Amino acid sequence: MREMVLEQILLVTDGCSNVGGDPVEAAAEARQQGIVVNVIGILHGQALGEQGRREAERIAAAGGGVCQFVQPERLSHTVQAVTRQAMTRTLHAVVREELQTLLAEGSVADLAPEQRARLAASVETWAEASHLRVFLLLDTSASMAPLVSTVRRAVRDFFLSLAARSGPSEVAVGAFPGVEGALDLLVDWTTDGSAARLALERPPTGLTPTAPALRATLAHFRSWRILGEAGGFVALPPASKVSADRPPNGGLLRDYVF
Amino acid sequence: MRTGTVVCGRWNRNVYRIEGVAGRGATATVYAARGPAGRVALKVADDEACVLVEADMLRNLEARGVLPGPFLRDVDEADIDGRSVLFLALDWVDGIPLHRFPAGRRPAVAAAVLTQVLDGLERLHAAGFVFGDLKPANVLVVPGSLPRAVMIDFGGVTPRGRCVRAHSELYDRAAWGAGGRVAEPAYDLFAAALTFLAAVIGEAPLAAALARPQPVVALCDIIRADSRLAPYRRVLEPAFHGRWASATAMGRALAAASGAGAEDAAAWDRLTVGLMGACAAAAGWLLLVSAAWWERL
Repeated sequence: MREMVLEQILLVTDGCSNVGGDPVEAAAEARQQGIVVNVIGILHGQALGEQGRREAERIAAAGGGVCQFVQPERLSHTVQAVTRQAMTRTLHAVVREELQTLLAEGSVADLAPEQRARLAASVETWAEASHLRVFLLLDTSASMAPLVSTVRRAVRDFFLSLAARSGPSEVAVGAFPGVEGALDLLVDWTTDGSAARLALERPPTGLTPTAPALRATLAHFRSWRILGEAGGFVALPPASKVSADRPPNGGLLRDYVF
Repeated sequence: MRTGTVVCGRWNRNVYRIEGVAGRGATATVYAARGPAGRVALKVADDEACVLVEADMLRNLEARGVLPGPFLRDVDEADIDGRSVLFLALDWVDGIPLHRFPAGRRPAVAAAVLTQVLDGLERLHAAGFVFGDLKPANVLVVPGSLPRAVMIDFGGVTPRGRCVRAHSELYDRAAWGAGGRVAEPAYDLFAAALTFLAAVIGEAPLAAALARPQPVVALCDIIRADSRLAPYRRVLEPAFHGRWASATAMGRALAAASGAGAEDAAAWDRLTVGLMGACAAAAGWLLLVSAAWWERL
């Protein structure tokens, strides 16, 4: 199977954005660049109202990702579940695409569950072996302060799971709002960050600039891609090249992200 | 779904009547249900991809003859509340989860259960798989003169060398800082040792130990402090440090430890017999003395 890099942003928040524009648009930009945006809404106190829920769902929909709302004690599990679900969804979309080119009629949903089970198992095998790159984007506004230890545990646990994958994985961790800009990079792209110390305690602020933070994250992905190419790293080429010449092996991941 | 709800499979046309909730997990809810061939455990998916992979794994294990049961009887979809939902129907096991089985608190009983769990693990490991999500809630005990242990929930079964598909924090060796989350036999043996311990002393002391800075050390301290666990120290501690090469090796050590435990029990029995004999002799002697005294009158 062809080399595949699955790129994701995982936004962990407990509220609604209130400054810096519409995060739904920023998520749509990410999706255009082949980066899936997932959202986990943490339910605690009154922070995540109806408005926050709707926004979280719309960000994930625009970013082609998964949205889940959880109690803080389920955060560790959910970070892993959401990442895995988004991976399999992306790969299922690739399979669907390929099947549609093979079969003129019919789709995966028309397969009997027993056959779909076989398909799901091979997609999972594929997901496990594929190259994964996740940017954890953590909301550290004032209302998240009581959850610092929960978030820290979840990030550590996420690193433990990624370390056990058979495919290569890289993770970066960012917190927003940044002390100065939209985003502070806490951990840059790394394959093992379980020992990294996350500086999640930040000066309290009521601002939640989700859209600028998402854009700053995208910029960070871009810098990685360009660096990666310079270093002979097999990554997805920058967006401009794709429309110009489609590779002969049937297209790139961004064409399939839905 | 409430009791009495009827679930009709779209593909295989089987009808199931819900009798109650049997358990709730991260990816599915398990109901007790009545199907065409009797009682089943109906696993209704929340995370469809995850449950589909489990179905494939169960078929795979059945085909290789690795599983002693429960078997997968049906995989289908049904419309529930206007949504198409995937479900699995598995053989119903009429047992009690180990953590709610009162006799499991006796080390000898818990050891008998662990022996059977290790047998099951050895079969899985030999076939190249790891169970993954081993914990007392996933070990059902069928009561009897010899309690039978049945492992349920194969959603965590993972081919060796991959990242374990499902885990529970309290039984996850990575959370204890005792190794990675890569599927290998030692991962299961760690969880098996903790499952035994949880059955005997309950989960609360384990959770307290996990919160300590050096959780595995705290765990070993718990074992040393409890005299009932003394014979099993040589079984559990190597499991916590990933030193057992296989489930069979751990099972052999457990058999030896249980034998030692049984010898202790036998020694107690000899003492009891001796005491009872002494009592009987004393009673007989009193009877003779009183009879002799009666004669003299």
